[in-house]
Amino acid sequence: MWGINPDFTGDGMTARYDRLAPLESPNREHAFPGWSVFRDLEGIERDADAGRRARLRFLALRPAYRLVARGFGGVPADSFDRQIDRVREELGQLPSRDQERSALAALLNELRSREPQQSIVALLAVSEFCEANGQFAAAEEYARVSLDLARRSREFQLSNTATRSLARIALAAGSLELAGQRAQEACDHALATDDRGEWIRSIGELAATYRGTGDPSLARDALLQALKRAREWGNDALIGLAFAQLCRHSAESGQAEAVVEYGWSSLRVLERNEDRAQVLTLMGAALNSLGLTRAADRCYSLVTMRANSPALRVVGLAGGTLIAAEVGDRDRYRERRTATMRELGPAHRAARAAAHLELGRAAFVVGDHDTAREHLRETLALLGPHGATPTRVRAEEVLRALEQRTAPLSTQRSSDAAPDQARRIAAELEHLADSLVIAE
Amino acid sequence: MAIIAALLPNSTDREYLNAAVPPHQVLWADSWRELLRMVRRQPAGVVVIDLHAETRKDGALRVFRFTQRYPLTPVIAWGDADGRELFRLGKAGAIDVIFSRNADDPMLVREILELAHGRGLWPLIEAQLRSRIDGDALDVLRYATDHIADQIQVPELAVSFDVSISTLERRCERWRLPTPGRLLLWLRVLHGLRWLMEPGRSVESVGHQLGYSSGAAFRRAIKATIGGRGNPMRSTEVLERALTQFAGECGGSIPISQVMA
Repeated sequence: MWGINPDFTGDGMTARYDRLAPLESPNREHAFPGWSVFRDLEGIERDADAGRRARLRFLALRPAYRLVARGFGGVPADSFDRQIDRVREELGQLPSRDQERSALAALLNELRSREPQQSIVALLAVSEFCEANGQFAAAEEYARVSLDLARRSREFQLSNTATRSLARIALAAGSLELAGQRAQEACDHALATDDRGEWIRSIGELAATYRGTGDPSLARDALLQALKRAREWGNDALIGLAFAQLCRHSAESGQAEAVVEYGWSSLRVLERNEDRAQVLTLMGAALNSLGLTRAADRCYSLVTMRANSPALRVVGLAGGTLIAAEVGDRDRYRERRTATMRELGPAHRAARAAAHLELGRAAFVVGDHDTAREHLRETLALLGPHGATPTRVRAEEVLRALEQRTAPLSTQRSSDAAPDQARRIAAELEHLADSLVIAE
Repeated sequence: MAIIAALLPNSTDREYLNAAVPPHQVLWADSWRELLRMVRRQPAGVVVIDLHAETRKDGALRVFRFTQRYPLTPVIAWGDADGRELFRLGKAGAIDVIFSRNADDPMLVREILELAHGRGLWPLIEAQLRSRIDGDALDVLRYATDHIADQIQVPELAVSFDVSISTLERRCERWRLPTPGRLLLWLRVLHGLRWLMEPGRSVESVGHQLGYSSGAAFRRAIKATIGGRGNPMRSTEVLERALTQFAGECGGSIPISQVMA
């Protein structure tokens, strides 16, 4: 062994005992532009696929830095277009139907247009995509660049959205203090620019950080304050948005009756189809836990019939599978489980994790313990080691119950015990028109 | 004009860099060893390194070793790096990357070089003086700062702004700046103190880079500006104190009431 340099492997290029990877990551200000996306590689830097994807995210972000540094008019068109074309060529390394490839290609298209608004929206879309797939460092970097670009282009509404995204990402990554600061900043900016819808959404993020710090009553107070302001403004869409935030808060706090009531109040006045579909999935889970399975099934079927987003569709399908298992309809359980599995592919990682959790619970209920274990382990694997999401906590609970062979963790009650108000809403929901959630 | 030290063995890469660097000057090294020697002897403002310049050498690890010795000299990595290598390069302290695919775009390469060069002493001086002296004075200071490494003297500074030495002196007086000679002395000392913060440099070599005949002459220049005797020179505090003293000596032409407003 004498004379062999232990630093290098056979090919002479790659360090075997890497001295650099364990070093502390540099601050964003000290690293080269866009390097922060590589923070997601921490601990998995030898994973070739993760490395290739991180590199593509880095390359796709580089043209946006030029726009931030020089402005939309300051970057030479030829050079900019050539840079974008070369990144596009490199996207060919990913399979043609790869979701990430589509997301980055869409961003490059918008950047090439050199329209500030379109470029910022596209950057935020990639940020959201990265966040949903657990790449929080990349999500943060894309959101920061979109914020810089929005400020430079004086797109105040979009800069508010970017600030709120940063708060949400920090919360998802488990940085509660930072999330609180950013959410507060987003609220202040939205109020200062009279962006009322964004203000209510930012209050929703602020409430989420209060919940995270163990103060749900403060979160509820903030959301009720937002509802009061929305009523003062007399705008139905804003009132719907405030109700939707309260619905989400109640779902996170395990208050099923409140979820149904707030969700129902928001459903008819919410403007965005995606918001309505999200409320329906929350109501589906809440109604199921109250034993109002027909109404719950209706909520999920509305989502799966009408929502375009793969993420919402799989959550709806998985919810329907759990209901079929809980009512003992094995044929429908099998059929729905197969449908969910078929649609899992295009959905993002967080939605896949949530769907696997519901499928795991459903398999546990029907007594298929091996399948349940597989689904729950898949949930935990998809969520990865970062962030303490409610989905992870729930998956761990169910897995523990499964290993201890205790009774399935069904939260379902008898429908007779459901409050009158919830039963009335459930009856109305069962006859709700399919067109409530309109395909975009 | 800055000096760029480059380790690019490939002739095409050299052509690409040459196309993008004007008005800067490039010094070519043929090996890592030569590059280190070059940076020690020449006042390089930016270093460009081909990651695969030498076979059986880990490029990112070499960059890391370089940045340990010269932490204030920006290093730009050149070549095709995969995700892991980019991850390691960031940790190694590279200031930016030029991909081989983009190397034939002189605009893009120039932008990266300018951005790296902009991280030198000037941002520190500008931060101290921006609100206190007017735009023309800032231009003179910027030019002088950028050319200190070329051992610029007062006559050349005056010629660059198309004025006589006495006109430049009068303008400095009007801007409430030190005389042009004193200004250049200060800038040399500030550059020198900044370079001295890099462990790879000695007082003697920095003095030579700045045009002094010896290390002792450079020490006398330091004493004539920041004062003191036998004080340690290699620290951030010394540079910060020197910058504050320099800003104090530049009275500034903008009234203090306006600065406060």
